[in-house]
Amino acid sequence: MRGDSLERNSNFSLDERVGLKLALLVAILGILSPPASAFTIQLGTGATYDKSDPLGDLPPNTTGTVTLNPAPTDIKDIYLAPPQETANIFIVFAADAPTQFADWTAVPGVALKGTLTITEYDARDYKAEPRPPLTTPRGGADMRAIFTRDAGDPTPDNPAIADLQFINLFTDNTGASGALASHIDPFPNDDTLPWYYTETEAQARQTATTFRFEDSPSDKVTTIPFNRTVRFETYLATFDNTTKVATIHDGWSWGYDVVADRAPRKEIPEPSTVLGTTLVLGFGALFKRVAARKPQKSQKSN
Amino acid sequence: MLIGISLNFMVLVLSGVFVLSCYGEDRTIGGESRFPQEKISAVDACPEEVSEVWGNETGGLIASLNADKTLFHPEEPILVRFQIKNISDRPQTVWHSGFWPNHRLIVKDSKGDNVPLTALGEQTRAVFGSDTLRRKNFAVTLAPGKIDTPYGPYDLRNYFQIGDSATLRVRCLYLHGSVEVFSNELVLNVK
Repeated sequence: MRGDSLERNSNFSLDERVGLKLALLVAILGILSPPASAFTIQLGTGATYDKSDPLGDLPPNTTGTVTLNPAPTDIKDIYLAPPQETANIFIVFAADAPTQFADWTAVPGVALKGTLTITEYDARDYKAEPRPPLTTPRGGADMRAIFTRDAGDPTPDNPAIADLQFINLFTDNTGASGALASHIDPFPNDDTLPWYYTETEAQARQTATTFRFEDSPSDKVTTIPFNRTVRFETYLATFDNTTKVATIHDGWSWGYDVVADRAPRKEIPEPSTVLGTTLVLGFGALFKRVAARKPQKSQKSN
Repeated sequence: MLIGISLNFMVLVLSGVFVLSCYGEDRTIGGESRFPQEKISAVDACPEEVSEVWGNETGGLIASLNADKTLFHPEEPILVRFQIKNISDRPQTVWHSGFWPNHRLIVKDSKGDNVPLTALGEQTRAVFGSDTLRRKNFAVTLAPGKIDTPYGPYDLRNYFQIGDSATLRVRCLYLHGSVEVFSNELVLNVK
């Protein structure tokens, strides 16, 4: 009704109004769906997508869980469009560069084509799954994925696999008093480049058309209560080793929460309360029985 | 009399029920154990750079720390490279965790004292150990006889306060859970 009156009062013609509505619809759809050139994210056949596990090896009277976050119903929703210049990854990159990968700078890139197949996104309790053999109680996640280049490569938007690297931004609440801290993974760095893999590690995970990502991060429960949030933004990047410029393309988000706390305790009544309650119940039953007998006696006397 | 006995009995029974309801819960946490199949990764082997000197075998693994030379000038980078080899007759898993969480460079002077760490050395030492968190972390399966060389070389000067004249005894420890695999000792001279 309200919409009708607005339309009647509008200065736009019917065709213009239809055009505007279509434009609005296209804009909304554009926001909701990734750009046409973005890579596709899918779950692989037989993929593990286990969203939560209880934690083992916790102290007595304590419970805890490790839970994937994000853990959308549709795995496509973990897609990340190429980050803008003001995005967190560029701020963290610039902050880490001087000590971790000197002289490197990062710039935004275009969306890639191709497909990212998630083969495992799994919440992990290290008591139940002790690989690697780290101290427990500990929770984490397994992320395994394979990026496959689009057919018709190479193109400027979709470079050869050998020209790609993964860059992994992590954010956790391990800062002072639980403050959020972000770094380019690994931190401290294991080489002088900003990538997740060293060059040797990357070569061992590439074929002519695919590039495999694998990570099993984890956190030990060190106090009760314990509340750890760990988030990753993993992007594909191209690079120029001469100018030391990293171009960040699209990627995906993943992570987990590790929570442990004392189990809720049931109130234990004091002995006097138990005794009192029992006495009341006992007397109640007794009086009921006595009361039930009285009419019988009066009936007999009649 | 009868009432007294029955009341006492009821108190005992009800108290027992209360106690059981408060403490009798199954406190087992963790659910059933799930031991997934081994996730086999590609081998990061580098056969053309095989070290000739290795540390002692531990759990089927031996480790090596090597350098291109043993005499270094003051201010010259002191580059060392770590390798680990599977000498058992079955595949072995090693973990790539960004080097510092599960590798420890140990540098001692001629007196056997630890050489002080730089600020970067302190930063890398702080993340070492089985108790620490992991971010980069994945398994690599080494076939029998294969060597893993994914890291380095590392310049010891970045991590240790090394003077202009020193004799350094350098080793590297690879930590795999509670298992410690030590490399050979590398003796380097600076002058």
